Amino acid sequence: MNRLAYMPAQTLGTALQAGTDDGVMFLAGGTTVVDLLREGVFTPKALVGIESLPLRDIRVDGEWTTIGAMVSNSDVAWNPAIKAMFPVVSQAILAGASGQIRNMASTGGNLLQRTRCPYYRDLTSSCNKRSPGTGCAAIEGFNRGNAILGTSEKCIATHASDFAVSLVALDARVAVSGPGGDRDLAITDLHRMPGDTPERESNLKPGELIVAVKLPHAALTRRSLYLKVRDRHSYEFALASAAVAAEMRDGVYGEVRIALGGVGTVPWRARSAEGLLKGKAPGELVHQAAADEALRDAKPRRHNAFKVPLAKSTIVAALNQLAGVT
Amino acid sequence: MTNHALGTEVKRKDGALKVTGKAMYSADVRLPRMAYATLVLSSVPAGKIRGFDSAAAMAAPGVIAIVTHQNALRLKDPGSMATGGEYAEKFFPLQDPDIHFWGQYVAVVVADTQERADEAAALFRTDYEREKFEVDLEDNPTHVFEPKQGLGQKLQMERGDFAGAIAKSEAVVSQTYRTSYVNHNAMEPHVTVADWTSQGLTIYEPTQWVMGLRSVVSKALDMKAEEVHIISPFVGGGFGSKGFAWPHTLAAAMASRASGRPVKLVLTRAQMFTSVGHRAPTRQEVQLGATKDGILTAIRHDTFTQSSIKSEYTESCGLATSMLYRCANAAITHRVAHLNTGTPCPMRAPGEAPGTFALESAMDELAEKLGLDPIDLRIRNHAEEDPEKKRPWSSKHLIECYNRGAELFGWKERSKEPRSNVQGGEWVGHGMATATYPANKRDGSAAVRLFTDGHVVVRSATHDLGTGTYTSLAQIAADALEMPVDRVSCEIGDSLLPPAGVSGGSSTSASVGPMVHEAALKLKKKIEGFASAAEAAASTGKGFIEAEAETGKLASAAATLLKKGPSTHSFGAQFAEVRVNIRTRQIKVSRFVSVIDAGKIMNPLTARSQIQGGIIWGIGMALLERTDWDYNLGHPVTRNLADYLVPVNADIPDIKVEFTDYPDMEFNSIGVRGIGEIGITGTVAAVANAVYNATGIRVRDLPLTLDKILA
Repeated sequence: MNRLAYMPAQTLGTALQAGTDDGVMFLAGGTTVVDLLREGVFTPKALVGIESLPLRDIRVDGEWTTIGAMVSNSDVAWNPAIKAMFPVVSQAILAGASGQIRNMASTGGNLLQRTRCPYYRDLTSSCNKRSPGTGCAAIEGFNRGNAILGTSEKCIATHASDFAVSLVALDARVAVSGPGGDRDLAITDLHRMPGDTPERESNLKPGELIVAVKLPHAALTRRSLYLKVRDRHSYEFALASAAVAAEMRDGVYGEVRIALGGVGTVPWRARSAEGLLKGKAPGELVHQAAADEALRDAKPRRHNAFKVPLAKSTIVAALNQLAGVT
Repeated sequence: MTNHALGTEVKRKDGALKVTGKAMYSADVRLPRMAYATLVLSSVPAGKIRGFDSAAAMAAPGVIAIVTHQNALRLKDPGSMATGGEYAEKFFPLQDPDIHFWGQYVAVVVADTQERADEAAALFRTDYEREKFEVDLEDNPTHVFEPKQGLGQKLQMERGDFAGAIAKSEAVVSQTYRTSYVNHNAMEPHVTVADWTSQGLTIYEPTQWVMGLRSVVSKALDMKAEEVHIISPFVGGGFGSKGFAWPHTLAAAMASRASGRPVKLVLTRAQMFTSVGHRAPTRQEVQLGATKDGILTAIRHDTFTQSSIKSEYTESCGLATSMLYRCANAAITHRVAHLNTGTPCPMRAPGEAPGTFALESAMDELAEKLGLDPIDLRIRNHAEEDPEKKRPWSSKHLIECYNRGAELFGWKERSKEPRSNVQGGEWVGHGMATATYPANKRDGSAAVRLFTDGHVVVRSATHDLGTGTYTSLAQIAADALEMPVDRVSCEIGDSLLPPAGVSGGSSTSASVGPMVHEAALKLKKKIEGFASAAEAAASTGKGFIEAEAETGKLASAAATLLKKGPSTHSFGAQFAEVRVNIRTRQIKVSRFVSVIDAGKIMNPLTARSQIQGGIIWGIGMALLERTDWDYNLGHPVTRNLADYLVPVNADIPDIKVEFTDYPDMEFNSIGVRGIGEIGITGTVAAVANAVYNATGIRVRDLPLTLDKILA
C-alpha cells in the first residue's frame, strides 16, 4: 500500500524542515501535483502543505514588485498594480488554464508546472523525464505539441507555463528559501534545458522552496503584451506564444524583450532577436528579421514543423501590436 | 379545450432535479455491502497473455476478488440487433488469453473501497507475448473487407452508368477527404452497478437501450430475460456510445458474482478513449460530374475506414450521398480495414457527419469550378424524390430551408472571392452546406395511467439522454387527454416498463411519441362517462386506470427500423461565418445560422438546444476534435479532456436556429421526426467552406487546425 502523508505547515521554518526529507514534495494549489499523483507519475511519501504560509502578498517597493509564492494566479492577474505596470504578466496568466484553475494555482507552483507531453503522463510509454533512461517516445512518436527550441536527444517536452514566459521577458527574479538559507536567482536560471538529464527540471536544490517572484521596475514593462496562439480560444496550452516588451526612444527601439512559449523546453528568451531590434524603427521587415533570428536554431520534428512559421508569425504579430505597426 | 402543450416552449421536467443535483445517476447509486471494481487494461496492442502475477494485488488490503480469463464465468452468445439487443464488442474479454487491442480488459479487481481497488489493480502484473499489430489506416492495412450492409443499410450501391457518365461530364471534381478518429466523451462516464443475488441480476447503468441491454446481459449470462432488471432513469449524454452493450457491464456482473456483493464499476475518462466506442477515421474519395449548367450527371463516393479486429461496424459515409441530390448515375462503396483498436460504434450522425463533410465540400468545389452560387447549385440538383429508393419523400421543404437561411444569414451580401473580405486583421469567410439525416422509427409501446388524484403518468422503457423525452412525452399525453402538461409525468429508463427500442438514430420521438398519443387517446375514451378522474381511477380497484398502445408485432426489445412507405428524411441548410487571423491563422466561427426541416416541432425550447448542440458538435469536429494515436506503440496518446479538445464557450458564437415546422403526417400520427443528429450534418462542411472562402485554402483533412492554413 502506497501510504501518502500530508503535513500542512503553518510556518516557513516548519515547511522547510519537513521538505528536506527524501520523497517529500511541497503542495501549493495542487493543480499539477494532485493530477500527477492520481496518474501515478508522482509517487512521493509525503506532501508538505504550504497553502497556509504567509506568502500571499503583492508588494510594490521602490525597485521591485514582489509577488508571494502562494498568491493565486487569479489574484496576480487581476491586481491593479500588476495590470498597470506589467500588462504582459496579467495577460499571460489570463490566457492560460480556466478560471477555476487560476483560482487554485499558485505563483510558485505555476513556474514548476510539468509538461503536457502525453508520454510523461502515460506510464506504459517510455519517458526520460518521468523514468530516466527509458527513452523518449515523443521524438519518433506523436509530437505536435512538443518543443522545437532547447531540445535534446533525450527529451523534447515543452514547458507549459504562460506566466513564466512573461517573467522571462521581464528579467524577473525568483526568491527561494531552503536548508542552506535564502537566495535569489534570475528566472532564466530557474528552469533547466533537458540535455542529458531531463528529469532535472529546475536548479532548485533539494528542499528549496520558491517564496516569491520579484519583478524589477523598468520603463519598458508598461509597454508589454502577451500574444498566445492555440487551437481553441480558451483553456488550452499554447502552440506558440510571445511575450514582448519594449522601450521606444524617438521612434526607434531602445531595449526590447522577446520571450516565447509553446515552443521551448524552457520558457524561451530570444536574446539575439532582441539585439537585432535595438536602435531600429519598428516595422514589418525588422520584425520579420527578429522573428527569423529567434527561430534560427529551431529543430522541428514530424508533427511540429508548423511551429516554426507559427512562432515567427506570433512574434511579428506581437511586435506589430506593441509598436502600433499596421 | 384545444391542443396546447405541443409546439410550445415547455421547460424540461427534469431540469430542476438536474441543476439541484437530485437526479440520481447510476454512479450515485449506493447499495448495502457494495464493493468497487477497477479494470486492468492490456498494455500491448496485440498478443497473448502468458500469465499473471496477482499475489501482491490479492494480498493488498480490502481486496475481495480478482476476475481474469482463468477464473471468469463462461459467457454465452449475446445475440444481436435481430434478437433484441446488440453487443458492440465482437468478442468477450476475460474469456481467453487473446489480446486484440491496447486497453482491452485483462482483469477486474474488486475491493471494499474504490481506492483500494485502484491500488490493487496497480499491483497486478500481466506477462504478454507480443504479436504484430496494425493501427494505422493510412499504412496499407492487411485485412480489408467490403461490408454488404451496416445498421440495416446497403453499403455498396450502383445506379445507372457512373463510368460512362463521368467520362462525358463537362465539369468534374475529384478529391479525397479525411476525417479523424474521434471519441464521444459524454460528460457522464460509463458506469455499471451490478447486484447479482439469488433473486436475479439488477443493473444500474446509463444506457440508450434498456431492453437491448437486458437482452444482451441475460443471453451472455445464460439467464432468463425476466431475471435481469435494467434501471437507467438518467443518462448524462450517450451520443451513440451507450446504445449497444459493452464488456464493462458483463465485467461488473461477473465481479458481483465472484464477490457475492453488489459491485460498482465506473470507467475512468482515460478508459473511455479505448473501450466504449469511437468514430473511426475515414478516407473518402468523392467524384462529382456535372454539365456546364451545374446539373449533376455522375456521383461516386468511396469510403475507406476501419473497424476492430473482430467487428464489421462501418462508418457509412456514402449513405447521404446516395439520396441527397438528383443524379441518375451513382456509385457508392465502402471498404473497411480490421485494425487493432477498440470497436467503433455509432456516434451522433454516424456516416452522415463525416459523409456530408466530404460531399458538401465537393459540392462547394464544384460550385466554384462552375462559377455558380453554392445554393443555386444545390437547388438545380434538388431531388424531388429519393433518387436511390425511387420513392417520394414523406415531407420535404429543403428549398425553403436554403432560402430562409440565406435571408437570415445575409448570404447575398457575402464576398465570393477568397481573401477579399478583410476586417481588423482577419479574413472573413462564409460557407454553407446541406444537412440531412434519415427519419427513423422503430417498434415501441407505451402506457398511460390516470391516478385518483388526477395526475397522469406516461410509462415506456425509453430514454432521456438529455434530449427532452421526459418533457415531450408528457406534452403529447397532455394534449391527447386535454389536460395541462404539469399534471403529466413520465416513467422511463427501466426494463420493467412497456418495451421500447434503442434511443439511437434520432428515433425516440417518432417511435414512442405516437404510442403515447394513441395510449392517451384510448385512455381518454375509457374515462368518458366517469364524473371525475378520481371515479375513473377508482373503478379499476388499482388506484389508477390505464391504456396501452404498441406497434404491430412487438419484439420483447424492439430494434427494427420500420421501412415501408415513402422515403423519410429530415433536411436543413447550415450557414457559417468564420474569421481567420491573417497572421496567426487562428480560426473562429463568428456566426452560425441553421434552418431545419424536421417535421412538427414538439418543444421549440428543447428542439433548439438539440440543434445547437449538434452544431457545436460539428464545429468541434470541424476545427478541434481528434484522438491522437502513436502508431509505433499502437495506442491513443490523447486520453484526457485537457488534450482532447472540444469547443469551449469562447469558441461558440451566436447560433440562430429556425424550423420549418411542417408536420410529417405520412411518417406518423403526430407528424414528428427525431432531431438528435441532424444538427451536426452539414455543419462541418459549412465551416470548412467558410474557411476556404476566408483564406482561399481548401482543407480536406479534419480537424481543420491552423497549421493546415499557415501557407
